[in-house]
Amino acid sequence: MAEQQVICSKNIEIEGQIAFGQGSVIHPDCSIIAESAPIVFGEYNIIEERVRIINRKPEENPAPLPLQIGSYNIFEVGTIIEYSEIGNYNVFEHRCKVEPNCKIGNGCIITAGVRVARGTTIPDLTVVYGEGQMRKNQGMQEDSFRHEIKALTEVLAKCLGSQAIQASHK
Amino acid sequence: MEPVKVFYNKKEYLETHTGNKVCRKSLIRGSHNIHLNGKCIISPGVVIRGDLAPVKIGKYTIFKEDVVLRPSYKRAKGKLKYITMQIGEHVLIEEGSIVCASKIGNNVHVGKNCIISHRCVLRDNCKIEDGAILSPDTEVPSFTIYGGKPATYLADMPDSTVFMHTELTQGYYNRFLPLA
Repeated sequence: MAEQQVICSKNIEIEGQIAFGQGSVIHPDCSIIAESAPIVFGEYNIIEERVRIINRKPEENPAPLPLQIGSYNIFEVGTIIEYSEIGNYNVFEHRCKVEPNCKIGNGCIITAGVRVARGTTIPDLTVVYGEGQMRKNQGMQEDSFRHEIKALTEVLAKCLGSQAIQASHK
Repeated sequence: MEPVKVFYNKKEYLETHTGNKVCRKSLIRGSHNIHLNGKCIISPGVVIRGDLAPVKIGKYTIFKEDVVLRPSYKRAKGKLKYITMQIGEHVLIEEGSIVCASKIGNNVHVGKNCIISHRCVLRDNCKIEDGAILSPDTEVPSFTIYGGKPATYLADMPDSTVFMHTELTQGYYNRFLPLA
């Protein structure tokens, strides 16, 4: 895979203005909907099946802002993200839900099935588990995480390459 | 009590000569890497990712609606690699579960809306309760029931599980009939 590419499978639902950084991988059957304002992704994001990233027009916010998502994030199967700020090096495990107006720092892990309530601020290096309890993420090393995501992107590029559409910067 | 028959629309399903019934509304990628051993039912909305790694599925295995099957990755010799997913015979996976296990044995029952994370191993004759979340690298021993968030040991399965479960999946398959 060349450095500047985005791997974008078929069968995805895309609506509105969306920008992807280099090395993003989008698996089939996920939907990215920008109803009100654009969604901007950083580099090396992996978006798996059934993920919904939505930038809805919030009723209380008449001036919608673009949804900014940082670099090196993994969104696993069934994640729902509504309008919130997301930093770098985060892992969103299976079927977690981030409600509107949250602020998620860098190096966080949202474990499987967790619901992050409206307006929560999650500081850097946090693991959110159970019913919204938090603890510190001690095993986080940015360099190795970055290498791992890059390696995963390469493997996925090989697997998906034949059926993927090479999307340019939108 | 008479067991309930489930009818399906013949136009929506593909049938192979080995008796697999695969719904056309399922999302199957990399079909050359998926081995169905016969008499499997794949319901609408099921996602199977054979393009990442081979998926081997045994006889009388039933996937209900919106199940996601995707092989998990593993670090071996400094390289990331997707590993083969093996599913045994007489396995029943209920609605809305996400399965990333590396190996599932025979006669396994996975409940509704479960999450089975990366590289889990489910041994023969075990049961996962509805809504359970198995954390990565969990191993579920034979003849046990696991449940909760995160899933832990709850109870043992009776010795008759083998016969009961075999009858359950075979019965489901035999009562899954085309709409005349």
